[in-house]
Amino acid sequence: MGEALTNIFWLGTKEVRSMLHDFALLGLVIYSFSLAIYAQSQGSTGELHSAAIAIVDQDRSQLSRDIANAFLPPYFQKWRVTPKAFAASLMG
Amino acid sequence: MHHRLASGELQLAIEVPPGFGRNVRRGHPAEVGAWIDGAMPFHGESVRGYVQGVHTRFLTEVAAVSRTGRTASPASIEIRFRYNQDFNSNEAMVPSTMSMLLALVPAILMALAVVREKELGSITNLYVTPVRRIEFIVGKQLPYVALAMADFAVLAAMAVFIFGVPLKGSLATLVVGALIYVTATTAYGLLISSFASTQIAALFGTAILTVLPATQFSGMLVPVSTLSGLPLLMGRLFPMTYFLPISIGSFTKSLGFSELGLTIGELALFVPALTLLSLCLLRKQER
Repeated sequence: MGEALTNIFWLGTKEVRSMLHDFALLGLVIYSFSLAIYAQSQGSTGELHSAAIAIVDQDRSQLSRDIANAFLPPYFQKWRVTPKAFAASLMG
Repeated sequence: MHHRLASGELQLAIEVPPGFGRNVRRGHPAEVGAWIDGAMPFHGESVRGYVQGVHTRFLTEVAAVSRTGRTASPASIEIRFRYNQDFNSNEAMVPSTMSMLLALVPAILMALAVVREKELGSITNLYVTPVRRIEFIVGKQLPYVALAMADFAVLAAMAVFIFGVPLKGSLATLVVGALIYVTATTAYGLLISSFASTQIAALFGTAILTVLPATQFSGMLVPVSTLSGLPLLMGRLFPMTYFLPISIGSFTKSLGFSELGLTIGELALFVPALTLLSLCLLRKQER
């Protein structure tokens, strides 16, 4: 009985020891519980955040500029497209 | 009501106080409460969008009724969906899932193939024969590239014939993109195999180093352009970020080589970069 328990103890701790010798595996364990979690928390949010929008201002009036300026960071990131480039993109 | 919101049974609760209708008709300020379950921000944002839409429509209707003869809004907005007009989620998810599987499976198989040789000891062949490291890498990689292309053929056929996602763009562009992509993802597996010494580390490592960037940072759920910092870096340095626009572009957006050529070029940079890196890390002799 005693011998069986000793065997089980050494076989069990052997698993832990062999893991501690596998540096690649240890590195991965550390990564997945630190950097991976941090990156995930930084990455995806359900909220609106710097959505890329393009504005084609063919009017160039005060009003159209006001509309364009209503899209504020950090919710949006704006790409101003000239009417010429817009027409070209529709052709392509 | 709060209890049913808390249990997740209700997404939205609307509270209309007594005298609301009378106040509105008389032009008095009136309030309605809208309680939204924000525990799932994704759903919450959608519900809020609908509530605000209904609110705005209601206000313009009231304004139209009170000022008869005048149009409520001086301008109208036309909203057009450019692609996938009927909002079929299959057309977005099937090409995305295909990209994810082609990132995960070839990389895992490749990493295991090399590390298994390390564990079995047959890697001694590399150590003792004059085989050069590049020959070893290419010889190991090519069968898995072929296997991954067979996977791709099956997945693409399933997308078209089972899920009914039409391939609107150029098949040739998609095939070229996929070939470069699976070469890059097998090279990714090779890179992981160069520092993993056990099969468990190779399997676990490839899975965790692939699944996080693939699902979160490559544009599958959130556009890459909205990311910043570490997630952006992880996304930009992962091949799937470049294959996803090729896959979705070919299937749903009916794009061809002229639009996707640049993306394919960027994707192609992964192949020499990853191969060179594994070449540097692969030892000709065991430590």
